[in-house]
Amino acid sequence: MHTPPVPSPLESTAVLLDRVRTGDARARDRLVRRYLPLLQAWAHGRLPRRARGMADTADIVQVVLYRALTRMEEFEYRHEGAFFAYLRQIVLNAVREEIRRSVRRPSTSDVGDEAPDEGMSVVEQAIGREMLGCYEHALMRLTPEQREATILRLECGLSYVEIAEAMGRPSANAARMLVARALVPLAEAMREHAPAL
Amino acid sequence: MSTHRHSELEPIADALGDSARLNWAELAREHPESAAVLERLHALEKLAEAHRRARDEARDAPGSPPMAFRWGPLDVHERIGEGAFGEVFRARDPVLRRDVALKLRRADAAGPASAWLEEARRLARVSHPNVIAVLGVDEHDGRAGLWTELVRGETLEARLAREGPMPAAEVAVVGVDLCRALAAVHAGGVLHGDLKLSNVMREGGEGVPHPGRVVLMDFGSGQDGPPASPTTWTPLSAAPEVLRGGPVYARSDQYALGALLYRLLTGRHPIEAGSLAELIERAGSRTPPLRDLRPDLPPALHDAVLRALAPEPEARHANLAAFERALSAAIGARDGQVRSRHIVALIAAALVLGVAATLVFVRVRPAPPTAPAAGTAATPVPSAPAPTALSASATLLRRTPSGSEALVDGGAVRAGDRLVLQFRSPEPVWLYVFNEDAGGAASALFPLPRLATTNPLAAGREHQLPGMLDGRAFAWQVGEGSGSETFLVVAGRQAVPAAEALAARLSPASPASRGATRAERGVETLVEEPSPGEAAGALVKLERQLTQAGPGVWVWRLRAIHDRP
Repeated sequence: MHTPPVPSPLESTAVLLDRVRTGDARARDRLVRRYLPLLQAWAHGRLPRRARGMADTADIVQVVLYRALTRMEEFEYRHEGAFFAYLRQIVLNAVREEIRRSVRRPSTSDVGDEAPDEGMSVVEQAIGREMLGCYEHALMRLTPEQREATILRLECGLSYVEIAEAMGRPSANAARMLVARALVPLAEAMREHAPAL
Repeated sequence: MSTHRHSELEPIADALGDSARLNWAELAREHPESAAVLERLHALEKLAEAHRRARDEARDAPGSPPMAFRWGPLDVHERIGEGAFGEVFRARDPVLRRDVALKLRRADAAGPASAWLEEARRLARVSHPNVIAVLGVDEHDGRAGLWTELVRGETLEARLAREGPMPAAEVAVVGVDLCRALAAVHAGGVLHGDLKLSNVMREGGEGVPHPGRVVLMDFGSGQDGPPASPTTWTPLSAAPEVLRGGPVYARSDQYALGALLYRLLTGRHPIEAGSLAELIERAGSRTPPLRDLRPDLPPALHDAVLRALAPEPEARHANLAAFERALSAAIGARDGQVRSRHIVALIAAALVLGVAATLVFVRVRPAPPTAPAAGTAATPVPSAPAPTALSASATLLRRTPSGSEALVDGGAVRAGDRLVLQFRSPEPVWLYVFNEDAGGAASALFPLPRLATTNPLAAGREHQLPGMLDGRAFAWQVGEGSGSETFLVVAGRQAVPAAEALAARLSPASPASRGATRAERGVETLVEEPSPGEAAGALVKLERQLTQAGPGVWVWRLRAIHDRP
């Protein structure tokens, strides 16, 4: 007798995406549950302080995620586990647009009263805008798998076990190697993009 | 950059990926030709740290995520489960600022709400680290509800579906935990009544307080002693006497635990049948074929599980304590060894690793104490616990000659492995680290009187423990052993009396611990040798004491399984 396989509670993203393409609403829900909190926490680090209310962040991320999952034809993934980087890029664009709008938006207070770092995100404050720009450029020099794993580890704080699960890697150690081997090339590419320190 | 220089920097990148604390100034001095790349790697470390801070802020932000509705004292967020009795929500206690799981009974559920509430009150009497903690019971807006701690992780059912049958030692460790949990439930006058894999969680994920903790969740019949109705049990896990509708005993829960362990070992139910009548007939007369399915099992573990599955209740283990002892003995006997001395030693990592491992030492060496020690000692400590929960992060890293890796719960350790704990808290804390082996022999790993690193630990920086002495970093080294090793990390805004007492009792300086310092192959080694059983269950007792300690105390537990090289 043929027994259908037991659905894994931790199917890889690629498997879930295939099911979303066939119209599987439960697979879409699982992806939302996997990525929504991750993206919201991530965006919290990239929005400027004055635009970083939880409602703003949640709205941007939810809109992006649902839009991405209903327009799957726009995402041509050739490699297992490039989906988060894809979502992140769309959210990043939305965040930049939000920053532009927040700059254009009339302020109710005197600009001079505003703390100088209110227009910067937590990450920009930590490493500076220029360095962050170099990082974003350098990320694009990595392979899609390296990029995905690096983002999930450094920016989302996922454990290697979680990265392996999300990317369909055989083990936590495989995910760890993927990250470890990406960081030096990433730093080198950042140097090539950056002005002298 | 040349391949040679590239490979020189990879171990540093490896440590960066592991969130190890790196001394960038020293690394730049040692690799002057790679200073620019090192500066970018340092920027990546800052980027990761900034994202971590943002995640913490997002987690603690008021109103995050949007509230769905209010029920009594709780802000209710998304629905996370559903059953015949009602729905389960993730909710937040805004006063204590902690997330909880709220079970709301359906308005049209069978039976009176008062009976359901009474059952919830009985469950609230049970207090054990391996049993879900009931935090409150009430009725609001016409709906009865109870709220419990929110356990993040996966059920053992999900674990089995994902990875298949478990290693024998891991199953025995789960069995020991569940024996203790069920014993606590029975001591509260309650039979569990529906023990199965989907009712047991293993805690895991970023930031959870007790990664790897096995937690007994939903209660099925939750009967206040016998008799129980067989209709509430899951047939394939139910004892023959339950299936026959006869009297139900504490040993009926023991049978269900045996069935649970059998499934973890084999992926199958002990007795399978096409109908309930067939199941009743088989369960009362057949011995499950465990040996055929797992020929690798130690005989003691095989016998312990099958005895719990005996068709007649009187042929099972006398009680859960006896079952627990049988499982513990099975782990200890796995390698044919009887534990005679404790296995954790403290070794100066720099000396042991030697020249070949210089790079390893460089990248794991903690930053020098940039904050003056006097400042650390003078850090003001609040005289009373603040209302918010103490937050902290801890990672146990295993150093091997080929690198380092974060030890995950249930992960393997081997004799010779060196372990260090990376710890950070936004507040100054008193920290305690304990270790207990499968035989119940416990030892205090931190603080240690001979090291310079001591309590309280300064806020906002990463500490690498056990710490430093004369400028050298130390690690704990795993010795010979079998079964499991449990590590318990306790942090408090103030000194934690229960942990202080246990540390004093286990300290090598204490006569109770029979500790000894000796020279070994020229390397000064501190070996703790408490007699077996002297502190048996000490960590479980401590953890139980600390469940009532309030938000000023933070506890983290990790269990590792001995693996033969």
